[in-house]
Amino acid sequence: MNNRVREARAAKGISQAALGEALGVSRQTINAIETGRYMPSLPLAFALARFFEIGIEGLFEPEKGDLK
Amino acid sequence: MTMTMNPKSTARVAAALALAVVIPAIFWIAQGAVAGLITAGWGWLTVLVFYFGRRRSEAVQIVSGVGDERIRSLNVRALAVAGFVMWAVVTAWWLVSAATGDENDSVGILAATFGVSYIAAAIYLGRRGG
Repeated sequence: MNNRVREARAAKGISQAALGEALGVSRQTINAIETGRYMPSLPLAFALARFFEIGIEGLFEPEKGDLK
Repeated sequence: MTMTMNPKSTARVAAALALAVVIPAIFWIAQGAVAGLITAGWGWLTVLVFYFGRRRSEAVQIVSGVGDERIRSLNVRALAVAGFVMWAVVTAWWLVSAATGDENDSVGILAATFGVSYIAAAIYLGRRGG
């Protein structure tokens, strides 16, 4: 699963810690999502999309093989 | 760092605290005051390490299971790995003891408990749907 969380966060000019604080998760979790090491739950993915005011499809994009 | 305490996390901390009281009490009754106090010292030291250590170490936080959804997910996966290792060891131990004619009832009970609880959990989770 590819995501554009890092780009969206950079565009908003906030830190990983601030984003984590706003969503109730740790800075490490935001980092793990951005680097693709952790796939967030659906509620957290929607919370990220709402935070950045973009559709969830604009934030997360499945890779070939993700949808079987 | 954000620390989310959901009801399951609170129950886990409460269980750890209860064990830190019950285990020393049993040692005190069975082996005397010194054994009870030594066990209490180790027990409370462990609780303190996990309570304060999780703020400094992610590994300790994962073992404690108290944290956000990623920490809880990693805690479940770590438990699954440990459960698999325990299953392998207990099963191998039981097979060896059975093969040598020295069947160990305790190991057999442990293996049976693991098997029954695993199947029961699979049935429950399957019916619940996730």
